[in-house]
Amino acid sequence: MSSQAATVDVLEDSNYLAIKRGFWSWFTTTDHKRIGILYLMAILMSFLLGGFFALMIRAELLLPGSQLVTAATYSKLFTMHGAIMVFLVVIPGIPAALGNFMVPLMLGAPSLAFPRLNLTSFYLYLSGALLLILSLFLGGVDTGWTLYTPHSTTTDTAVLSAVAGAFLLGFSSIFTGLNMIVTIHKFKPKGMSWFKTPIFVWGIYATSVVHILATPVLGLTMALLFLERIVGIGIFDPALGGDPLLFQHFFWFYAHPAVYIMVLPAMAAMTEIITTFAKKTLFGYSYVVYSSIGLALLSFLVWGHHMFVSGQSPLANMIFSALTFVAAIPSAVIMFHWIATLYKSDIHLDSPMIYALMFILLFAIGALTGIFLGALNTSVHLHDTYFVVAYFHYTMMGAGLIGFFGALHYWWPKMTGRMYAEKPAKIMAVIVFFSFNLAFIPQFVMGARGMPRRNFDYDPRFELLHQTSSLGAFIMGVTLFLILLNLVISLKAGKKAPANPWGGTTLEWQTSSPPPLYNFPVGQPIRLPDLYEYESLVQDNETGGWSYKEDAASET
Amino acid sequence: MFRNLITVLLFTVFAFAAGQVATTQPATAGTDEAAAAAKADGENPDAADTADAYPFTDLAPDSYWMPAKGTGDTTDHVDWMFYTILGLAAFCFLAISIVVLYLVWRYRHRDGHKAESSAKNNPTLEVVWTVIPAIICVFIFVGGWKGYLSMTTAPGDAMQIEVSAGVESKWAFTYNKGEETLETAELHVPVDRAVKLKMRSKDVVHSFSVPSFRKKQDVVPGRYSYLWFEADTPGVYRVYCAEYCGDSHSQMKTQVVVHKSGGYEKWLNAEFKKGETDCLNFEGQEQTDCFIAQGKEIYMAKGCIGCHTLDGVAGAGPSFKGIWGETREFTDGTSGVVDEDYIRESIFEPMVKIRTGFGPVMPSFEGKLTDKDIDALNNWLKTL
Repeated sequence: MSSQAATVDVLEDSNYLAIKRGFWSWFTTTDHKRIGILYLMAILMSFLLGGFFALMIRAELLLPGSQLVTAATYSKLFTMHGAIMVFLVVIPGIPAALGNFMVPLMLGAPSLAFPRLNLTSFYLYLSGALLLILSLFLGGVDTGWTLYTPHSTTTDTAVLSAVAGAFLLGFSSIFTGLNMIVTIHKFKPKGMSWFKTPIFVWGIYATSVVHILATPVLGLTMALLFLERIVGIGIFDPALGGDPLLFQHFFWFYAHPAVYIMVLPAMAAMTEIITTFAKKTLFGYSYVVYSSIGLALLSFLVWGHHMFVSGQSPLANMIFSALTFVAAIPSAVIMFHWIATLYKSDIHLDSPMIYALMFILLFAIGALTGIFLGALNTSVHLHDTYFVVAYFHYTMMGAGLIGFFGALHYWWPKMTGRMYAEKPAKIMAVIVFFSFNLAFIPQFVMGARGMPRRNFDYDPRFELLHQTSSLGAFIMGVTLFLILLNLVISLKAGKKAPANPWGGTTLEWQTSSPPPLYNFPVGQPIRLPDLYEYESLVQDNETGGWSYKEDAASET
Repeated sequence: MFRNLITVLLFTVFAFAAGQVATTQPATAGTDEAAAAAKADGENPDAADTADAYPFTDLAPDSYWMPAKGTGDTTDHVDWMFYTILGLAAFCFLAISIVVLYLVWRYRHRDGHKAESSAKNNPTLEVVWTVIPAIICVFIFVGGWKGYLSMTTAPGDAMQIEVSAGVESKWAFTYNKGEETLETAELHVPVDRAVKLKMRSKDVVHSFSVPSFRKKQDVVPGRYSYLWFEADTPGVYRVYCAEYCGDSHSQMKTQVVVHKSGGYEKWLNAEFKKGETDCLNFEGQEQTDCFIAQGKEIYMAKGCIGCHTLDGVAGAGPSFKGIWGETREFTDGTSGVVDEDYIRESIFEPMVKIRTGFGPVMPSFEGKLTDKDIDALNNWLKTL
């Protein structure tokens, strides 16, 4: 291993970032790591735009009536906030950016199975994103991200370019999912059986299965919507003989599994973080795997709970309500495994672990408030109110996005070779936790009292609750920006990252930070550490890096 | 910095605590007031319809978590489920938080502390933490399903009111009385009577939502949607559109007025009477502008326009231009001033006084026009 460490030093200037420079070396790259970084930059820029829209919404809602914008602009703001955050940020966040980077590394592989298809996926994402953002310049879209017909087929806003964008983004996801599935099947190294595969790889695998099965339905729905608008084929608009509920079924058949596309990889990343920072083997590994796969499959059977008051039959409502409760159980089981892993552990409270603990609590609130929406009679009362808004922000943002930020802090040293300032990262993570709750708990109360969602104007009785919510959102918005700034600053000012800064046992930590072009030193066998076994790892007090006892001994 | 954090933390705790207070105090404060007001009305016949006075501003106040209650069984069932789940969720969340925080504190990394080995899995534990949530889920599912069944199944004798939803026209409610219909912008219903709404949309998807009744139903174009309720507390409740329907979505709201016993029939009769002239304001006074316009409508609709012009050129009968207050001569040699009595007589008994220069050709409109119609015509003729 000492020879491997020496090789790593030699490779210092030939890591994937340094080996080639210039615009074209990035935009024609087939290196999964560089494509991951490209995704990351695009996703973070989209996040800033979507976040800006969110703060505009919260500023408008500080008082009833019109404050900053008109009702028409407000409709466009929440539509673009939702569409950007869902399609451009949270869905690709972990799988396309971090998954792209980490999955081959975790498998000890030099690349994804189809490197050029991977670049194609990125360009599809970029084109889709640009089309979506183009719709802003064509006057915006006022349909909500759900694009319900016949409003979306009859409104005179720029629906076409947004729909075309969603279509391309869907294919980007499908290609990435296909790439991941083939890679995971074919590139697993000798000695890594399915049940010795890191949970993150399992999470990406489950997500990719959902991607390739559900996303084609989104593609078809967008294509039909597009055709309906330009040639009036009459699939969804009753004026042309179509059925608006058909659209809702199609849409949610994709969009409900999409919730799991957002949450599953985050759960998997949190699992990695919790076991690594607790220095303790994951409790009940196989049950976590089965629960993740179960969750992915069940996600296809519950779309109807988005349509409890749509006019769907009471029998269908009963079945979907029952299935929703079935799907709730694996989430709870996975959470219990995280908590049980902490037992008799040795918890290092570094910033990724702070995020993971936040994730457990926010995910718990999301899951528990989901019960209100699974139970039929309370669901009817709460449907389409701010209660739902608060609930899905807990799952999609509190879990999906906070999980993404945690995973980003976890893998940042590996991706960039730099350590960020730890203390500000921790403090700001805690501020995000409290401001997040400050922003969304009042929305539960408003929703239970009947405040409908997507409302530009509201009853004065909700004023204080809205203002509290906005205050939380502003604090959170500023803090999230500072968190990203802290990461960016580390690129110039950060300490050099050791190969294994957190003491992880998965393969990406067994190569240098940042990794060489082909991920591992060429021509040397890759040693496969025991997954999630931390006893023989020791920390070097000088560099902060972790290594295996026998290696540390042989070096001195 | 830490002070700010503590403030935020305190608020978070407060929000949960406030929710818990609400769970232990059933939300009856608002409904008590409304009920007391309704009772007072009943005892004082002079104030009988104060609950029906326009505009309806006295909406019952909400509790911390839930809107004022408007329907008996449905509200109680939904609220019971809501507070049960809230209690359960709060308990689970606190339990999870305490366990996580305790474990983090107990096993935090410090000098000399190391992870100890323990079982890597435990099938008994797996069964326990799968089965217990499953049992809880079964109970909540069954509770929600039973409550939902009763809130969707309308009794056979429910009174039907038609609802139309539209982006431009907002909400419109149509009541039937024999063959006549009446359309209003607010929904009026009697207390303690099952009401079934038959709803249709003129354009996009809307959703009829009354938080106080704990009910909501999407109104989808191309099909009828139904929603029923039985209000048990007289009062005024908010109606929202819950499905985003365009830029004016937040303006698509109205109210439902639950009349106390007997009040609904009174209101309905008064509305139908108003419908006959359409010219009464809400205090029952005649509105001049509306009356004049109605006079012209009658002139057009009843055929007067065929013989009587408005431009001064005589047709089969004299023109109406500038006629009011003028003195006219008749074929029998007498003369008279054009006033309200003369107009009335000419319409009902046209052969009594025939203008010089015209033939006896006008039919009688006795029984075809009402007194109100004559008044409207007179008002209009004065303006010509």
